[in-house]
Amino acid sequence: MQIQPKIEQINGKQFLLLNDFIDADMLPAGDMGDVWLVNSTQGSKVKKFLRQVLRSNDRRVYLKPILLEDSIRPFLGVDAAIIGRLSDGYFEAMSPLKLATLIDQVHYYLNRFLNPVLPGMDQHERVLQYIFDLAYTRGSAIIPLRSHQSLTGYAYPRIDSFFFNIKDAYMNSRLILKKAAEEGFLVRTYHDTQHLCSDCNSGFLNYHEICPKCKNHNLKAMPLVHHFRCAYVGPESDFMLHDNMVCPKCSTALRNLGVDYDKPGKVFICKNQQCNHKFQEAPIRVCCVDCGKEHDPYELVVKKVYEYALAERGIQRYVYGAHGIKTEVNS
Amino acid sequence: MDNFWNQYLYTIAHVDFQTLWKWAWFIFLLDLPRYVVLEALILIYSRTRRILTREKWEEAREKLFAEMPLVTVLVPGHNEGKHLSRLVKSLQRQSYKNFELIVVDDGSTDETPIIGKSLEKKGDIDLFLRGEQRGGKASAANMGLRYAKGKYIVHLDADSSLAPDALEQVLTPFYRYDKVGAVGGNLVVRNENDSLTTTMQFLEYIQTISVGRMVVSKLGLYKIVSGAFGAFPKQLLMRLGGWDIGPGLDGDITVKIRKLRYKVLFEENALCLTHVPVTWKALTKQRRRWSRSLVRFRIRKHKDVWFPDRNFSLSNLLAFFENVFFGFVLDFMWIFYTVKIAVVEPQFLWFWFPFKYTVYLLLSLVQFIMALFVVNSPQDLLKKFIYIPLMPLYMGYYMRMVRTMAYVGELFFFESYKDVWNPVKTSKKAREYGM
Ligand SMILES: [Zn+2]
Ligand SMILES: [Zn+2]
Ligand SMILES: [Zn+2]
Repeated sequence: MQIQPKIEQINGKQFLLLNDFIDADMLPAGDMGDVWLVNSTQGSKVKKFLRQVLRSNDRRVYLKPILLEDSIRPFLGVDAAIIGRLSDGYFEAMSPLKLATLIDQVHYYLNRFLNPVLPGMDQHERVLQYIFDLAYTRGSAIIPLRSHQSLTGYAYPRIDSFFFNIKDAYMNSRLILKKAAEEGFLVRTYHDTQHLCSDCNSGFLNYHEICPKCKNHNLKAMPLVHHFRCAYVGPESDFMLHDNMVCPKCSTALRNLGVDYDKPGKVFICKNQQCNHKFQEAPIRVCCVDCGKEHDPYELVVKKVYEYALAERGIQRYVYGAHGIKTEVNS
Repeated sequence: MDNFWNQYLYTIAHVDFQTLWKWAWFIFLLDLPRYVVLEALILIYSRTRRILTREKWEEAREKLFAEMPLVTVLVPGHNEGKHLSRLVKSLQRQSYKNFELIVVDDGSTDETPIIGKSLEKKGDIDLFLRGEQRGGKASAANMGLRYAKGKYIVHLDADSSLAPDALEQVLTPFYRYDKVGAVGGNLVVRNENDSLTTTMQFLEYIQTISVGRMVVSKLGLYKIVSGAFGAFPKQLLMRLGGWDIGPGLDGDITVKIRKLRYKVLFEENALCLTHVPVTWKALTKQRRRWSRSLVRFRIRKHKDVWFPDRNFSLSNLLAFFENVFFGFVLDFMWIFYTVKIAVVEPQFLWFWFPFKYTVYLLLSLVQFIMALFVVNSPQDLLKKFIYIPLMPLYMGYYMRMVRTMAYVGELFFFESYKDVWNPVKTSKKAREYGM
């Protein structure tokens, strides 16, 4: 099947409209247009397309500036943030000057290679090469994104896209970045700390206050009320008399919080009928949303999340080094 | 010095009994009969009765263990966390095992919540309750009472520890007699070797608590079940709505129990070791608080006891009378007479002070000997014999002065309502409603 490319001329640059390619699930050739413009409103298809772009072995494809048409923004839904990260952002937000610079930069970068197609590499090398190509031409860093479509709640959208399920994506992305940082190719800075399920690494956890006696988490919390005048202390329910608060000990009405009474704390009541335990300090149990495993908080896996930037040593290797650069060969 | 003694002995030998009687009638008429004759008689009576009714006591004890009711040990406190592990240990050694321990932390600002929570987690404390804002001792006790499950409530201070059979001993009277509303335990000073202050309190506690309370209890006049160690039926406490604002809340609740015509008993065999103030300054502060409550509760809040109405009870009146008379009237009388002597017959003071010292020294000696028959370890008490000569000064001058100052402060200036022992918010309300 052949697709007739639709090209628009804007500010002297060739914009390839991607709608038909996205519909047909096909990649355009690397030499089509200066910029690719996403004008499809089907979020999941757009995401799939962009992931294919970055897995391409053709540098001209995966380094191509890709912008999103502003009108599609409302249609992207849950995928909006990831699509934003897999592209170069919205057309509107990109000034013509910035765009021209990006196009030139990509052009200049591609020009240094004898062959725009990557040689056969193992997957980790392949991903790192992609990271350096992209971050170098964009002058950007690798910043984690909060996302509920990831295993832990944090994603590195471009790197994760090389893998086919969120579990692989989590394991491999972290491993690749960690090793590259250890070898001095990348520098990392702290971004956040996460607590993860000890069985499946999921970051989606449900925290329960539980009854220390029977572990039930169906609890009722009730504030304690202290009536100053007569020193009676009891749960708020002791004082309730048709919509009014009346002290059960001295039968006076309670009026002003802080003046004639206060609430010095709260008490939990276990709603398990066999237990009915009353207590103030409720231990926390953590239940994994994905696999259902129950933890005490200290059993959770604590992981740090980092941002990464290109290190000089990495630039020497991936940008100027190993895989053959024309200027070097020529000199 | 020789001269002084010569003079003293000469005066003793040639004392004019008429003058002596004029100035010291209350010593002969009140102090000596009450503290020596009455106490000795009742002590002998009470000890003999106890031995004669041995079997009944044993029966009561068996009844207690047959029923084995759940008992709540209730410990309210503010910044008392450091004492908790010691208290817990003394509870774990109890011969009576069916109890729950509820500790209430009244807005502590130190590490108390951390200690309490970890003891609760370990299971050493059954329920640790904390009020984030301090509410005063009464509110803390009431908070614990609200969640207590026991048939009896044993109220304890955090800085005390119990003898291994103390719980059993303090509960037995409930099974020995009917309609017992409260049982007070016997307090022994735990830190008697810390300072002279604590040594004097050690002797004082033996004299006024171990001996004194046994006597008033036998007379049916026992009126302050100490908050440091007292046991109550929970139903009764609930009926009274728990404790009212202190200071002196232990005395107050005892009065309320007595007004309902319940027996209030002292159990000398239920021993509680308590920590007393180490410095004179701290002791003075504590005693001023106690003394103010005499005015606040006996004279102001519970003034109905003094008047015959439908709730009138003679023993309540007598208990109040004894309390107010010996604690209050006599103190003022003592000062009045001393001042009067100084004005009317100043030369008599030369005789007056040594004479009084001699009398009270003899009185202390007699009381010391009586105490030797009562205490658990007379040999420990004997070691403190050399401090007896200080007792007349401690009891007769120091305590009197502190008490009188407190009475005046409370009578005319309502000082107890300003005491930071209670939070301002509650004192304000207490004053407003005459509590
Ligand atoms: Zn429960
Ligand atoms: Zn009230
Ligand atoms: Zn899991």
